[in-house]
Amino acid sequence: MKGLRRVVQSKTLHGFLILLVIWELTHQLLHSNIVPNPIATGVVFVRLMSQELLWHMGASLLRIGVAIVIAMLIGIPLGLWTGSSKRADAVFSPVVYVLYPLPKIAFLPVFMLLFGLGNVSKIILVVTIIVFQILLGTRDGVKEIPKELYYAVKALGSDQWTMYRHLIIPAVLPKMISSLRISVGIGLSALFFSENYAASYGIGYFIMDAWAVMKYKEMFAGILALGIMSFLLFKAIDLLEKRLCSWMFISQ
Amino acid sequence: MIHIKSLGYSYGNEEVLKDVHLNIPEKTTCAVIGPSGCGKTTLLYILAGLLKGYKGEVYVSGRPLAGVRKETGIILQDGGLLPWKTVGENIALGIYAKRRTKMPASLQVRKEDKRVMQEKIDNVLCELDIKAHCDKFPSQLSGGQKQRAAIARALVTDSDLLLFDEISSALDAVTKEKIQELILRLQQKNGLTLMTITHSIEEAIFLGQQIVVMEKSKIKQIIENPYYGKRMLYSDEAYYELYQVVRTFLYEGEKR
Ligand SMILES: Nc1ncnc2c1ncn2[C@@H]1O[C@H](COP(=O)(O)OP(=O)(O)OP(=O)(O)O)[C@@H](O)[C@H]1O
Ligand SMILES: [Mg+2]
Repeated sequence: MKGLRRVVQSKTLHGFLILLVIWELTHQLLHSNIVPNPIATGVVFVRLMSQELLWHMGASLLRIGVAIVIAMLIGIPLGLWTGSSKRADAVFSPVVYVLYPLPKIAFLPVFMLLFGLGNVSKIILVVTIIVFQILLGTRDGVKEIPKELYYAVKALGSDQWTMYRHLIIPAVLPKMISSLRISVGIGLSALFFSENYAASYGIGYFIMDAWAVMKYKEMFAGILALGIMSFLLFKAIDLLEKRLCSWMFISQ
Repeated sequence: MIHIKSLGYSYGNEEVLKDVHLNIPEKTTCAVIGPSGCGKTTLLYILAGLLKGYKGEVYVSGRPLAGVRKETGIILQDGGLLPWKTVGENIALGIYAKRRTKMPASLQVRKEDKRVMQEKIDNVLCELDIKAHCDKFPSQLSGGQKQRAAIARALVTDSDLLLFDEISSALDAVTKEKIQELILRLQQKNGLTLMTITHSIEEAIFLGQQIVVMEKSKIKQIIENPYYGKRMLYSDEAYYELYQVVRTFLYEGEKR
């Protein structure tokens, strides 16, 4: 009983209910099968989940997951480096400023030419889009560490490793996680786009394929799946933040 | 303990310390007082080994100053506790940081080592009366408790030289006196050398065997202080006179 009450009172649930109401209203107002009603979509969604939809979701999750990991492996060390060395910043940042706003999506054909039509080119596209976000977020996090804190830890006799382990990394974690959030948002959209080309798996492919044959319920089931993926990814980041930055959540 | 000869320092083109001479004998205390921006914190950073590229000579414990010294404990203007570590972890970092540089990585945290470390931490926590707050984060502490934690971290590594920067400025009158007395007791009990920066003349007289009055980037006057460690009343004539002397030097320094 208690569990049920918790579910009913959950704020997350309330948010979803509002979303469903808006969806249903849109369906009623448009009076067209282009926007199918939520319940019919839900039925299709459940049916498709036991068929191929789960595979499409898995393929996309894998791509975005690998892309995020690679982008972090590149972006975090570079961010830490440019943040703590003025010289590295002077050399690297102008390059980043030029590359950051370039429409990477326009390079997808080039990536496909270089890295093939499969997963690699799609992952590389997403990496090139989010790596700058992570790099700059980390760099700014390092730069924002108060000088006094830096001196205080230095004066304890800390070596370079201790400085990173106990001061710099914990100090930039909150900023790093914010940039991770933004990365997931833009990364998913970029992935969706890339999956429209030369793909036979992935949620982007699934949605556009359903659209092409005018199966709107399937298409919306796909969109629902994309929404669920995004929700899960953001929730995972929230959890990560609670674990890694627990000191930010203490009641004061 | 500290021996400074014609010390000079500039941030870029701005000369913030020039021709500073100062001696602080072992196991004695020195209070530095002076107007805001006169270079007190800069002097402390240099003595802590945090700033390089100064002019002149600085000897600490008989040796030319070369970077951060293991036996120097410092507290900076805002305490410098890490917000993501509890009080206990902050103090442990004091030990850990110094250990690392002495031992090869493979030997660092052995079991009995951890126990000894924990004992040491418990001791300072008790000494400073903050045992109950060991598992709290700095943001959950009052100003006075925070300063106690910062002092604990400076003491836990068996420091012989303490450099404090305005550690009582943000505290209320009673807590301020308590902290001052705590510092005095620890300094006398452990025979520590202490340099403390302050904006309060009373604190300078209470904590400094020497009182160094600074003006813009220079030492204006060094005063030998007979009232160190004594709580005096303004009604005591000689004490009031000393108070006025310090005050006059401060004002003169301010004007120029
Ligand atoms: N990193 C820095 N770069 C350039 N100038 C600086 C820097 N830090 C301090 N200064 C300048 O050096 C001078 C001395 O600063 P310092 O912090 O030593 O003063 P202070 O005596 O400690 O003052 P307060 O009592 O306000 O703490 C000031 O004029 C300040 O503007
Ligand atoms: Mg200062």
